[in-house]
Amino acid sequence: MRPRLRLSPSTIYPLLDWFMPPALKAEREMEQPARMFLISHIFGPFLGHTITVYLYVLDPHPGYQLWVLALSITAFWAFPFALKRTGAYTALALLSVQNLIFAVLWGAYHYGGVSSPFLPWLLVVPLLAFFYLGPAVRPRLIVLGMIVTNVTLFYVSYALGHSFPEHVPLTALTGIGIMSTLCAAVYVSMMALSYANIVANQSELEHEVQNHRTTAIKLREAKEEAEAANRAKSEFLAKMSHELRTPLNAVIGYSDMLLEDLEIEGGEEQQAEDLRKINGAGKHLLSLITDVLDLSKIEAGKMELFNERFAFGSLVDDMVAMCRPLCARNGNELIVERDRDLGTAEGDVTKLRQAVLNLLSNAAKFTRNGRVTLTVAREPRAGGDWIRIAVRDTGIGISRDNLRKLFQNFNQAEASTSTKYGGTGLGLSLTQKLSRLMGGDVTVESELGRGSCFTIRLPASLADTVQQGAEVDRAAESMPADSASRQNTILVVDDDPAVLDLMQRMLTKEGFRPMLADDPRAALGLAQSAKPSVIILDVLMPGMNGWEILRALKADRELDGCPVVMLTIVDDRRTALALGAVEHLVKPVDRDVLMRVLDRLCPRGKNDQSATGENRGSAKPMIANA
Amino acid sequence: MPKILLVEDNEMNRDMLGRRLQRHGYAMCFAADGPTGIAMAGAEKPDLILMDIALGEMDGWEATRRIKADPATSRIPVIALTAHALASDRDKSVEVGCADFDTKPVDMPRLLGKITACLANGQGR
Repeated sequence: MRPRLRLSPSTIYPLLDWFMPPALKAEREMEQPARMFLISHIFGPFLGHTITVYLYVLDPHPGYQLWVLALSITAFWAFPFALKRTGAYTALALLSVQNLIFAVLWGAYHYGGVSSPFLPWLLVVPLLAFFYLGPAVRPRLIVLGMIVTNVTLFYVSYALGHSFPEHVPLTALTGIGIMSTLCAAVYVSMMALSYANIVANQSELEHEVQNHRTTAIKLREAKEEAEAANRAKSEFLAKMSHELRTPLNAVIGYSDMLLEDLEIEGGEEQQAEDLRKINGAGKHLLSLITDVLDLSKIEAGKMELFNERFAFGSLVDDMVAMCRPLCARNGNELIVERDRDLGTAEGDVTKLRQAVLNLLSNAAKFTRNGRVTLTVAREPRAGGDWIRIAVRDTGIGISRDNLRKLFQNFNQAEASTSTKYGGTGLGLSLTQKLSRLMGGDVTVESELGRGSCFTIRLPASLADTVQQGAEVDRAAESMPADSASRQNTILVVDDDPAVLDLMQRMLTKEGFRPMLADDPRAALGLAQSAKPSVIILDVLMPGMNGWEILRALKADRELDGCPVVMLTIVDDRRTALALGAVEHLVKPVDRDVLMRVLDRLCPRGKNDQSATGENRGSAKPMIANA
Repeated sequence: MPKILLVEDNEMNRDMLGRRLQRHGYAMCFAADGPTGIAMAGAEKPDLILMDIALGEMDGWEATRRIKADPATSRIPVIALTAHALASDRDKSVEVGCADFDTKPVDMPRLLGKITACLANGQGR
């Protein structure tokens, strides 16, 4: 993004910023006019005083009229200081315009009257005034009123005296007249150029905003289409699975019958063996279809929970009994560690059993001549007990890379796994989805070659804690160490270490939990894992700029609700807002402005909640230097 | 020989379950839909009814409700057969007056146990 106002070299920005009151800087649409105001008032009097000096040279013993003019021009220098002190921009701008009209008319009155070479400067007045004051109607009317009043006074003074005073002969003013008229022409041209620039940039921006809007609409449409397609897929799968089950039941049923016949009549062993294979394959296929059906039901949001009270201990006994032969098949020892009294729980027994059996059968399948340990316990937590069911094995383990895609549908750690161990890779995905459906989640730890441990945690009494449980769990997933202060996590993405350092100090001091990323490419991943309350994004970064990250964030279903604040060195508020940012700040960041924005985005209540028990300043930042 | 009426719309399932039950010493009669099932219950006076729930126009719940509403057939125990072992199905089966319920595909020994229990209860009445 190029700077919009090319007239102002960036070198004088720090000087301008020194004069700029913070409140004015926060008001985006007034910031640019205020910059213009400051530039004019700092450099304008230098130009103006060339005239007073020239007049002094013409007449080394001037009357009061030259001193008044000099004073009026010098007074412009006081305006930036007054602005810094009072912050009353509009009033000062109006006062400045009045001073300018006065200086021009005073100079014209005393040096040449209506023929004065200074009179063309009167044209500059409305141009400059409207630039200073922005699009508001009232100040414009006031300016017009001022011009009319002043010109009237000018005429009345002339009419009363019947002539203009002649301190210097008009002919002596020819030189400066030409100069002054030229200067006025150049000045007006510059202003016109600047206006033209702004208009051009605005239409460019307009165009860009339009583009973004079109993209956003297309994105939304694509998203809706994808969602509809996904729903259709799920419904299709559900229907298909149902249709597949009927003939499959016949395969299983008839082979069962034939087996029974053979057992009664004592037929050939080879035949019985073949029938057992058909029967086994049918049952396997049926279980896969059932898994697909369940997954598609969950994805279509049609999976219902049928909660009931049950004796937790007997469910465990049940599962152990079912799993023992499975473990024995691969020479595994099944060890059960459990509290003696597990009490009762409330939930969907069938689905809980399914989730745990998937883990147990995986453990039995991927372990040879080892140990499978089932650990079951109740964990008291605020708001009710939770159930912890852990399945640990001494099997082949899972590599770090594969752990990440472990819970995806149809994804086994290695393609070769399925040929060696069988299965479709639906089990874990189903276990995870079921656990989440029941208000909990499943976690995994594993070491290649040493074994794995899968742990399901869910509320013991599902009925009343499903919603709450799901939220608590998500928090725990993202920041297990201190989940309470997660509400305050602010992710700052900037390639400049100085900015990161400053932000860290500012945020920590205010009790937020800063999370810093200096690599824009890591930002998305961090946002996904940490789910911060607010994301602050720099725009100009190597590798991937802030707009791209913003776009990616807004396209992510899980993250598009997370408020994003853009941080730029150029004023690009409209682009930022059009792309979905909630706020836009210009560097260098003003602490008060930033805190006002953050307070709005993370209400105090949440901040305070995290700070109970310890002071807010003690939150430690997490640094992710990817 | 106890007589069982199997109400089931799928021909293969009807055939399989029927033959297996015959092998275990039960006399079988069949109906392929709800209305026929109700008529057969009145005409054949079976000792037990196995009622599939997912029937055509009239589902198994409704058929059971009607069988239970008719004094001539209300004493015949009904075992509902549903696709899923859902608590809601169990509640519903109690509500319409079933003696028990089981899931499909059937687990033969379990179903036989339930049939025996139901018949024993019926005789005790």
